[in-house]
Amino acid sequence: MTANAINNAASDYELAQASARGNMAAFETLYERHHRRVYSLCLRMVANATEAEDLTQEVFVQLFRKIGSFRGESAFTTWLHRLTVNHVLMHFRKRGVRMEKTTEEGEISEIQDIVQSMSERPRFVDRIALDKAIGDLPPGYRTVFVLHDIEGFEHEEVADLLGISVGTSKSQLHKARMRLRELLNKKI
Amino acid sequence: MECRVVVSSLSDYIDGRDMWLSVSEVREIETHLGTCSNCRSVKLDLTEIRTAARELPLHTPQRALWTRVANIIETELPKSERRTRLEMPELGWWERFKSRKFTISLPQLVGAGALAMALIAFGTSNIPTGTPGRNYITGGQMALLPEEDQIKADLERRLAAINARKVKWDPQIRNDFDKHLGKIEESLKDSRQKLLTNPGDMVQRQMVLTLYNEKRQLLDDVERLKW
Repeated sequence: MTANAINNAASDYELAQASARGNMAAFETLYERHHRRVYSLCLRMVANATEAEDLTQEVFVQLFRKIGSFRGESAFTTWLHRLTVNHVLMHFRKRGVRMEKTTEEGEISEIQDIVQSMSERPRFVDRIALDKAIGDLPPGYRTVFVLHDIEGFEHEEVADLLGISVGTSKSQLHKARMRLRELLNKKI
Repeated sequence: MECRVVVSSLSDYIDGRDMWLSVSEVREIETHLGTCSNCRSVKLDLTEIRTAARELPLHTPQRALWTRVANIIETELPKSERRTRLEMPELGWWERFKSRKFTISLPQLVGAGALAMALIAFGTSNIPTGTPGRNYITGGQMALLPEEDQIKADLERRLAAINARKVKWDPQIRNDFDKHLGKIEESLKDSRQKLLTNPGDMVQRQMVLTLYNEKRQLLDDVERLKW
């Protein structure tokens, strides 16, 4: 059996152990398996391909440095997922990205949405349009939407990651969804 | 319950009505939705957005990203552990080389940047102080810069030796080498033509020098690997 075939058949945990011993081929296999998920998460959170690539690079370098600490208690994907999210959030903090505040303006826009929707019919959501619209969201809304609706974190986890209350997380998510609805309506 | 209140509660209703809303709130919302098509439309849209978000495709970064990761990690591996790498060191280098951004990709941004790069590459002491705009006619082809003939002769001699060995290379490496060399030579031809049209163009002059330096570095790299 070739070395490549051995690596391809190995579990993430086995590859992580091999990587921790300095086996680059094993780490490359891990990269091949997971880089798209990491990159997609970074891309949707920062909405910039170049920035997302830089962040993905940093995540995998950090992964290599920390991979010896992965003990297999959780799934490797979960561990990597959390590593990626934390890294992007740290990036946001360095850049000074702030969460959008809930204001009366946001509430007024909801009413406008209702009025607008009075002449509209339900529609099929174009996933490509949705992906583009996510990139057009304000950073704070986008972060919560990506973490909750795309990556599957619960509000308690989102709140913990972002240092906000559960109520704020829920509010931001709702406003993100309403904004996306507005953006998707404009494309039709 | 008013539409405004219902709409503001819809995300909680969709995501976990049992968790986030009281029994009475759920009942009121459902009663309202039963009579209000507008709010039903909003609910449907938000549900579709949530569903679609879970089914979004994965994106793929550039292939060269792994090379960047590997380069950084390589420097952190102890020498004794680098033997576990399965890929050829030369190929690893070649992957790095392929991801290089050539200055020739910026001809439209030629200006201070190109001038600065040329000065760094050659050092001001290496740039002949011949009169700008004066052409040096040698052989059958006009040399636009002092010592250009000498530079070209040296590069052509080295390239001839490399071309003789190139037939034995891995086809992918050979193709990549030819592609990069082709880009340099195309840009060099373009810059020389502009300099010929306007011999006083100092920016193009420096661009030509930079491109010769790029070509020299390409050949240096290949010769260092003893391919």
